Amino acid sequence: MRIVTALLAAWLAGPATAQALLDFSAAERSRILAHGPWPPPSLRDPSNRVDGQRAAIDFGARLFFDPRLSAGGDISCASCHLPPRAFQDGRPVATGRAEGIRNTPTLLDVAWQRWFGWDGAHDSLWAASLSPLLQAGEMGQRLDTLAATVRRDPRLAAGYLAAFGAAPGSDDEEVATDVAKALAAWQSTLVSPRTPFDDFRDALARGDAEAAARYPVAAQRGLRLFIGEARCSVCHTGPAFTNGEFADVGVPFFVPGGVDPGRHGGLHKLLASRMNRLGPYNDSRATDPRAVATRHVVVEHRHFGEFRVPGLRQLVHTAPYMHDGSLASLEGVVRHYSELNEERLHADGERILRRLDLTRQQAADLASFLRSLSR
Amino acid sequence: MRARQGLPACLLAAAGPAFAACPPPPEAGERLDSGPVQLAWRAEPAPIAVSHPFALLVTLCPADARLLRVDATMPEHRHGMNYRPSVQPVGGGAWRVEGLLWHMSGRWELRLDVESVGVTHTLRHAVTLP
Repeated sequence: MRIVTALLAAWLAGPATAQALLDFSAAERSRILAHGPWPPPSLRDPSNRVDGQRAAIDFGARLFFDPRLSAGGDISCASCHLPPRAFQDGRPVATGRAEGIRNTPTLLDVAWQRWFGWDGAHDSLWAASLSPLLQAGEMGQRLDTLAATVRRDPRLAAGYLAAFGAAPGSDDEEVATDVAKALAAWQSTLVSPRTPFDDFRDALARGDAEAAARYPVAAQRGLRLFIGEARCSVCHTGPAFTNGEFADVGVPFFVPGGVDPGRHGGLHKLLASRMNRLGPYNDSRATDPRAVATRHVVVEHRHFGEFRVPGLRQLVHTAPYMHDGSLASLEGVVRHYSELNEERLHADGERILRRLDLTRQQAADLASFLRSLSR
Repeated sequence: MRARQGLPACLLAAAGPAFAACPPPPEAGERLDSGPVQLAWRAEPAPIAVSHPFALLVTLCPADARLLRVDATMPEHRHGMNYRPSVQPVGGGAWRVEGLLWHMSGRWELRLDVESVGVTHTLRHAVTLP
């Protein structure tokens, strides 16, 4: 390892406290800077007329923790999306009214997502929020009882009135969709904190080698792998470390009783849904610039078994990993790619992934870097 | 994230004839030629950013040539886009292509099929996203 900058005092204090900055090339620095700054500018959702509005955010927060939104009155959104666990639940697969087949995703940084759910069956946060309310295996609610609960309860009715400027109307679907839009307004405020990586990245950006050198060398080596030889950043791009699209990464998609079609099934659900950005509940209809993705997305055979590329921020708090929660630790994830079984990838699919065959040191470095994406 | 996707069609239509001259002026963007067809394209917003939707403004010469379809692939990765762009004439040989999104950095090959005098011409342009 070549070291171009070292802080002499720290070095003299002994190896345990040695600090240094690797000799990142101009190309490497450019790739590193592309993962920031954090947080990005806020992004409003034109399809949700109450996004960003204080009353709707407050109403959404109350709804998120209210178990009366479920059929049995015993499950709230927060039952699976636990705030202390980065809005994840620590289980391999979600368990609502029944055990599901996919890992509960974190809700941090959802405002910047294009597609929602491991299969991308939704193109807005509010549509993604309505779905679990109504799914039999999740909260199992019905449109009419959900709307009736909001109309009947004085506090919920008052929250609705404050958020939407009118009392809940007689159309059950409209009331339920507004509930989901309030939930989305609150979730849009959930932004992950800055991390050691962000401090490093910003120090590089301003040319502050001393500050950059405080970032652990093992994490720097892991970062070099991440953006270079291991090619992780081909899909885990940008400040959120995801390109927002879908990939087959060789995780089996067999589930009890069949297969999980992933993105292929999600696309069919998306395009058939009244709740997508092309449907009647988009509050800005044809003028919504984010509807362009829904209008042009295509369904192809290669999407079978693809799942959404997750962001990597705060991932130390969101184990277990992958769409089926099959990998318990970050080391397990690194091992998955290091020992990748290429036979599991689509024969007619893309050619990006390959077995990395990392040394033990490289695997440890990569895990060290991944940990630095959390606070 | 970039929310704004481009100029309203009416503005483009107004801007279209300005680019209708043959050959397309430099401000019309990257130039490609195939036989009698001259094409210029530029992205909106520019530069193209990984995983952000963008549109293309295409100027054709001769102005009565038709833009049939636009697609893009990453030959080294053996995949294309997850989106099928739509093409719309905006007048005077100008076309607007909506719905492109390049979801990875690396070399993309942009392909534009143009019909002129009953013959289809395929024009390609390699673009590398950092």
